[in-house]
Amino acid sequence: MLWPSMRPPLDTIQRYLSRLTRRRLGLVLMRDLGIAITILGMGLLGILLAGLLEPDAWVELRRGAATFGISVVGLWLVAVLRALHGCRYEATMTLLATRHPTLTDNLRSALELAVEAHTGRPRFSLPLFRALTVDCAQRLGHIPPSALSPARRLTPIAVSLSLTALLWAMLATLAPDPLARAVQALRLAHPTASSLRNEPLLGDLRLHLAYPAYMARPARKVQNSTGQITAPPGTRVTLEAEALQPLRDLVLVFEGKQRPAQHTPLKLSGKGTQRRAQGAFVVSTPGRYYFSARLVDGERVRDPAQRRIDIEPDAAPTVTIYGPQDDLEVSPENIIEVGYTASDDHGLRELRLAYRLGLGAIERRRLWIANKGERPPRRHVDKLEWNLAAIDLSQGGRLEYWLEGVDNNVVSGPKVSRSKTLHLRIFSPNDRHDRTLATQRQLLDAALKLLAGRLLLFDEQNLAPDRRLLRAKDLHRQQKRVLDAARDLENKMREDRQASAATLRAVAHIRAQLDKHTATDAQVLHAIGGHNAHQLRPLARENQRQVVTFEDVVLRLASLLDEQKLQRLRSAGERLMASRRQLQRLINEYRRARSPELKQRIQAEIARLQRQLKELMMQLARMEGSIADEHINADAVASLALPQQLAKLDALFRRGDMKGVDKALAELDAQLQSMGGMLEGNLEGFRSERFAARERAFGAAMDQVHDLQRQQQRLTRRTGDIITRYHHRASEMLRHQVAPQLRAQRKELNKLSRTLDNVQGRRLAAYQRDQLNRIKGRVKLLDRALLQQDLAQALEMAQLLHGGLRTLRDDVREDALDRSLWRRPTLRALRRIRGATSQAAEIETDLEALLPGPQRLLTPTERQNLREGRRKQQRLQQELEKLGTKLGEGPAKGAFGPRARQNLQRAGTMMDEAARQLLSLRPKLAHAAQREAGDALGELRKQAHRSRAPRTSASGRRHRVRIPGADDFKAPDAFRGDLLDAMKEPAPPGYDGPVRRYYRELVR
Amino acid sequence: MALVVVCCALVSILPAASRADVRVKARQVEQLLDDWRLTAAEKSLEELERSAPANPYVKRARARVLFHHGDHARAAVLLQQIVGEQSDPDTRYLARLVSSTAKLVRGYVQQRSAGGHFLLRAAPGPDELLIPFAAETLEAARDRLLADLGHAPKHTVVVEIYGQPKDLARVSPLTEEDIRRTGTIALCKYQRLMIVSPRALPRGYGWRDTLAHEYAHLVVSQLTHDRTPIWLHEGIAKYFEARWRAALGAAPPLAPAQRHLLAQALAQKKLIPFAKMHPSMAKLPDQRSTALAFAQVQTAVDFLAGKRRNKPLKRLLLALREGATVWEAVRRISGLSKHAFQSAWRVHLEKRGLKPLPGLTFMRRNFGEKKSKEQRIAAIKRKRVRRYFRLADMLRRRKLTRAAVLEYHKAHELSGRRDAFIGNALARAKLEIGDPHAAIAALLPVIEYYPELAGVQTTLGLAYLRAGDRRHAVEHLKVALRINPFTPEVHCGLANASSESAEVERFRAICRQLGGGGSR
Repeated sequence: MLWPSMRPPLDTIQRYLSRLTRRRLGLVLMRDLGIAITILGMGLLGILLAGLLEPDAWVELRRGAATFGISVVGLWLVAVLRALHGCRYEATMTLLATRHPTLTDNLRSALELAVEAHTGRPRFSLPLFRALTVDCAQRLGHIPPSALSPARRLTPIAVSLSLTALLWAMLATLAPDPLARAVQALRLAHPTASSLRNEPLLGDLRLHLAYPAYMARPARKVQNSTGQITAPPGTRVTLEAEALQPLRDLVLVFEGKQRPAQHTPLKLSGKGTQRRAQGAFVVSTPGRYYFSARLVDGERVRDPAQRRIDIEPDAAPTVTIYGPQDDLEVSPENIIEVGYTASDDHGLRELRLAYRLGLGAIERRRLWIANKGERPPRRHVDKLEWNLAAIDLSQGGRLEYWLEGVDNNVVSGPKVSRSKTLHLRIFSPNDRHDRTLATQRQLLDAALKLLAGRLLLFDEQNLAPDRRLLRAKDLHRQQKRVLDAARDLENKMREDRQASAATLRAVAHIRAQLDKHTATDAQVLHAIGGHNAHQLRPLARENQRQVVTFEDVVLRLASLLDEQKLQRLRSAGERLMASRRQLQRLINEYRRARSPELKQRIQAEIARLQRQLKELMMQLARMEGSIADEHINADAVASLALPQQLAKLDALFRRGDMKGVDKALAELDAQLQSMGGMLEGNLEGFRSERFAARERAFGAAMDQVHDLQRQQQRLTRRTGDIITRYHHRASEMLRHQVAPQLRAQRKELNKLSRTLDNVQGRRLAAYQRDQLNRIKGRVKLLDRALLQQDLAQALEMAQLLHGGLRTLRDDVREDALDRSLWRRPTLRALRRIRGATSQAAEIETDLEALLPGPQRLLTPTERQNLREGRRKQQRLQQELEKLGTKLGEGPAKGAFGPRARQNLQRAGTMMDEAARQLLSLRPKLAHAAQREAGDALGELRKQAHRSRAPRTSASGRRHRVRIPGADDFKAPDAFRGDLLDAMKEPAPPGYDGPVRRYYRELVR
Repeated sequence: MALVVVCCALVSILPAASRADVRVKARQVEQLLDDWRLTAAEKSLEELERSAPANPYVKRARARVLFHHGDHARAAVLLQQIVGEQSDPDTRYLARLVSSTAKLVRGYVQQRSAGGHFLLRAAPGPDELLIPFAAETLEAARDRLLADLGHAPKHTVVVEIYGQPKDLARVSPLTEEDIRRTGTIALCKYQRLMIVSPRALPRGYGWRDTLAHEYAHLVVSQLTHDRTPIWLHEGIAKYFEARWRAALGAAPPLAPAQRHLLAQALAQKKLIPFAKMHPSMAKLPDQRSTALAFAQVQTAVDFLAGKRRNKPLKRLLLALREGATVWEAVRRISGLSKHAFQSAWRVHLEKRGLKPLPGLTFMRRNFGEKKSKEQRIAAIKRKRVRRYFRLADMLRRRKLTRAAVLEYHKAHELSGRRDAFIGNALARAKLEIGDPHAAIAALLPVIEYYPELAGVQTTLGLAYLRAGDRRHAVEHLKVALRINPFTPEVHCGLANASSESAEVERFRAICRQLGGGGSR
C-alpha cells in the first residue's frame, strides 16, 4: 500500500512498523489464548470423565480442577506477558529482515539516520536520506502486513479449538445426562467436614416409612432405629432424632452410586440441648447417608455412622400355567382348558393370555384385571376355557401360548413376567381323516395289485411249476404286507374320530378276514411238497379261494372309501349347520350388546362359514367321476347358491342392517337344511346301492326296534292311564281324611325348603346348581299339590323330589371327596343336601303310607287290563330276544354298534321287571320299568345312528386340566414348624419389632 | 244411361275383382308350394309380383317361397309387414314359425356342397364338422335317386343341422314331447331338410342315412306333388336311405332290431296298420312302435320293388302324381288289390324267415347327457356282473389290464356275449394287452345284434386296424362315423387305415382338430 503523498515517508514507515507489530502481537495473544482454552477444555473434559468413573472423588477432582484451571490461566498470563515483551520494534524488524533483508537494511539505516536527521545536523545528505526514506516507504507500501504475519498461523490452534468444541458437542449430544451430572457433581462437590467426630451427633433415631400407595402396605414406625433403611423405591422416610450435641444446622448427606451426593437439610427444633431434628426424603436408589452438622462454634463436623439405604425390590409377578401336555395335537375346533395361578409380592393388576401361531404376530387376550378402587390381590387362581375356534387356525402349525402377569407398581412402572410357554400342534380333523383315507387308498391299491397277481398266477399256461411256486410265495409275502397295511389302517381309524364306528368295524372285519386267509395261505404253501403241476393243485385251489376273498375285500374297501367320502361331505354339511347356529347365537348376543369385539367375532364366524363351504364344494368337485353323479348331486348343491347367500349376509351385517341379517340367516338355514337333506340322501342312496344287504338288514332291524319302542310306549301309556285313574280315585276318597296329614307334610316340606336355601351354591359345579334349582322347583310343585290335596300328584312329586335329591347328593359327595378338583363343594353343603334328602325320603314314605295300595283301589277291569298288559309285555320281550339274536349274526351283525347288547339287555331286564310288577298288581313300579325299557330302546336306536356317523362331536374334545388348589401353596408343615420354633427364640434387644415383621412377611 | 250405369258398376267392382283375382292366384302359388312344386310356384309368383307386388297375399306367397329357399330372414320381414293386415291364424302361425327359424339359424355357418345342389347350415362350433360329410352323403344320394327315380330337385336344397331336439321343435309342427317319445330326429318340410346333430344323443345315431332318408322324402314329395301316403313315403325313404353308400343293385339292409321287431309282430300278429301311420310316424305311441312301423313300410316297399328294384317304384310314384290313389297305383304296378297286397306282403315277410333274436334289447334313442360310467355300471342288473365289472374297471384303471381282462371275462360270461357295454370294455382291455383278435371275437356277437352302436364299431375298427386288416377297419370305422363322428379315435383310426391319401389327409386333419393323437 502506498503512503498517501501528503505524508512524510518516515511517518509512513513508522506507522507501518507499528501496524505490523500490533498485528503480530494480536496473533500471538490469540494463539496463546486458543492454546489455553484448548488445554482447559480438554482438561475439564478429562476431569469430568474421571469423576464419572470415580464418583467418590468429586471433591478431589474439584480441587484438582481448580488447581488446573488456575495453572492454565497463570501460564496463559505468562505467555501474554512474554508476547507483549516479544512483540517490539526489534522483533518486527527481525521478522521483516527474514523476508526482505535489503529493505530491512535500508529501513534500519533510514531509521537510524532519522534520529540523526532530527538533530538538525545530519552528517549525510538529506536529499539522499529523503530518497532513501521515500524508497523504503514505497517499498513497504507494497508489502501488506498480513503477508509478513499471516493469520494462517492460527490454523493449528483453530483446529485444536474446533476439535475440543466438537468433542464437547458430541458429548453433549450423545451423553447429555452423564455430562450434566458430572458438571453438577463437580460444581456441587463439597469438601467433607473437616472433622469426623467419635461420638454420634444424633440419637434416638426414629423412622417413619410411608410406602407407596400401590403397595397398600401400612406405614411403619421404627423406634430406636439404627438408621439402616430397607424400603422399596417411592417410600417416604421421615426421620426424627434427638441432637446429642449443640448444633447450629444439620444436613443429611446421601451418597448414591453414580449420583452426586444429595444434601437434605434437617429441621432443628427446640432449645438448648433439647433439640430435635426432623426431616424427610424419598427412597429412590440404594446408597449411604450420614449426618453432617455445624456446631454452634462453627466447626463443621460429621457423624461417624454411615447408614445404608437398601432398596427392597419389587419383584415381578410369578405366573404358573397349567395346560394339556406340551405339543399335544388338537383340532382348531377344540376347547382347551388352561389353568393358572399368579402371585405378586405387592399386588396383581392384570393377567393376559398371549399366543402366537408359528412365526406370526403375538396376540394377547386379557383374562383378568383388578377391580378399580379395590386392593389388588396378591394371588389369583382361575381356569380358562379357551375356544380355539375363535382364532384363525386354518393353516395349522404350532401354536405357542403363555400367560403374562402384570403387577401394580406405579412407582418404577409395572413389571411384567410370563409363565413358561406351552405348545399345541394344530391339525385339522380333516387332515387326519385325509391321511386315513390315503392309507385306505394305498391299501386298496395294494389289495388290487395282489388280486391281479393271484388272478394271473394260474392263468399263464406256459409258466413252469417251479416258477409258479416262486411267484406264489412272492404273492404270499405281498399278502402279509397287505395285512400289515390293514392293521395300520385299523389303528389309524381308531384314532381318526371322523371315521364312524361302523366303518371301523368293517375295516376290522376285513383285517380279520385277511389275517385268516393269510394264515391259511401260509399253511398251504408250507404243505406243498414239490413243484410239479400235480403237487401244485392244492395251491391252485387255495389261490382260487384267495381270489374270491380278495375280490370281496377290494370291493368292500372301495365301497367303504366312497362311503366315507360321502360321509365326510355330510359331516361338512353338519359342521356348516353348527357354524350357522353359532353365528345365530353371536348375532343374538350382538343385538344385546354391540361391542366391536363381538362384531369382529361375527365377521370371523362368517369367514369361517365361507371357508367351510368352499371346502365342501371342492370335495364335491373332487368326487365327480369317481362316484356316480346321482350320489353327489353337485349341480343341485351348486344351485342353492350358498356362497352368494353368505356374501349377502356378510354385506348386510357390515352395513348394520340387522333385519336383513335375520332374513338372510333364515334363508341360509333353509338352504343348509336342504343341502343337508341332499347330502344325507346321497349317502343313504349310495349305501342302498353298494351295501344293499347290510342296509336292508340295518333298515329292517331299525324298523323292528322302532316298532318295539312304539309298542312299549303304548303299553307304558296304558299302564300310566290305569295309575292316573286309581290315583284320582284315591285322592277323591281320601281328600278329607288326609287333610291334616297333608298339612303336616307341608310343614315338613317347608323345613326341607329352608335346608335347601341354606345350601351355598357358590362351590357347586354349574350343573349341580342347575339340579338344585330344579329340585327347588319340585319343592314348589309338591307344595302346591299338597295344598290342593291332590295326593297322587303329591306322591309323584315327592318321588321326583327324592330321586333328584339322591342324585344331587351322590354327585356332590363325589366332588366333595375328590381332592383333584380345584374347587370342591363344602362339607357343609353336602351335609345340608344329605339332610334334605332324608327329609324328602320321609315325606315320600309318609305320602305313600297315606295312599292306599293299588290292590284296594283297582277295579276288576283295571286288574284285567294289567294282566293283559303283562301278556303283551312278555310277547314284546320275546320279540326283543329275537331281535337280539338277529343283531348278533348275519348282515345285521354289529350294525348297531358295540353297546347294542347292553341296551338290549337293559330293555329286556326292564320288560321282565315290568311284567312281574304287572302280575303283582303294582302298576307304579311296572310303569317305571316300562319307561326304562322304552328309553333303552330309544337309546339303542340313537346308538345305531351314531355308530354310522363320525365319532367326533361338533363341539370338539375338551382336555381337562388339573389345577392345583390354594392348599398347594401353603408352606409345608415342616417349614412351618421350623418357623414356629424360630419365632420362640427371643429377639436381640431393640429388634423385637423388626423380627416380628420379618416373620410375618416370611409366612405371608 | 244404362250403359253408363253398367260401366260405372264395372269400374267400381273391377278393383275388387282384381284384388280377388290376385288372392286366388296367390293361393294357387301357395298350393303349388304345398304340392312341393317350388319351381312352378316361383314362376307363377314372379308373374303375380309384376302386377301386384304390394298385395299382402302376394307377399305372403313370396315369404313362403323365400322360406322354402331357406331365406328365413327376408321371409320373416315380409311376414311381419303383412301380419297386421292379414290376421288369420295361419299367417300368424307362419310368421311365428319363420321368425323362430330365422332366429335359430342366425349366425349359422353355411357351405355349399361340391356339386352345388345343397346349401348346408350348422351352428358354429363342433357341428361344423358334419357339413362336409353331410354334403358328400347328399350328393351321393342325389345321384343315386336321380338314377333310380329319375328326379332331383332343380333348386338348391337347404339343409339345416340343429344342435338340440328342442331346436327342431321350434322350427316344425312337432313338439319336444313328440320328438322324445318317438325318437324323431329329422324332418323334410318346407322343401328343406332338417336334422338334429348326433351330438344331441349320448350314443349318436345314423345321421348320414337319416339325411339321405329325408332327401328321399323330398324327392318323393316333389315327384308325386305330395300325393304319397305316409306309409309309402316312409317306406320309400327307408328303402333308399342307405342307397347312397350301398353297392349298385344291393338290397336295402334290414337292421337286426328291425328283423327282431318284425318277427315278433308277425308272431304276435301285432303289425301296425298303415292307416295308423298317418299323419306322421312321429305321432306313434313310442319309439318301438315307430321302429316297427319303419321296418314294415321298408319291407312293403321292398316287396313292391321286387326283383326289378327301382323301376316299379318310379312307375308307382308317377301314377300317384297323375292322380291315382295309392292302391290304384299299387294295382297298376303289382296287379294286387289293397287286401291282396297286404296279404302278399305278409307272406313275403314270413318267407324271409324272420326270427326274433333271443336276448336282443330294443335300444331307444335317448336324448340328454351321456351316462357316466358309474351310472352305466349301476344300471347293470345282475349284482355279480356288476361286481366283476367294477373289479375289472378298478384293475384296468391301475394298468393291471391282464387281470382286468379275466374279471371282464367273468362278467361277460354271466351277462352274455351280446352285452355291448361289457363286451366293449372287454374288447378295449384286450386291445390294451395287444390281443386284437380276441377283441374282435368279443365284439362280433355284439354288432350282430347292435350294429348301430358307434362305440362298439369304433373299438372293432381299431381292433381290425391293430390286427392289420385295414379293409375291415375302414368298414367299421366308417359305420362309427355315420353314427357319431365326434369321437377322435374314429378319424384318427381312419387316417391310419385309409389307403387313399386324400382321405388320409382329411381324417388326419379332423383327428388333430378333435384333439386326437392317434394318427401316424
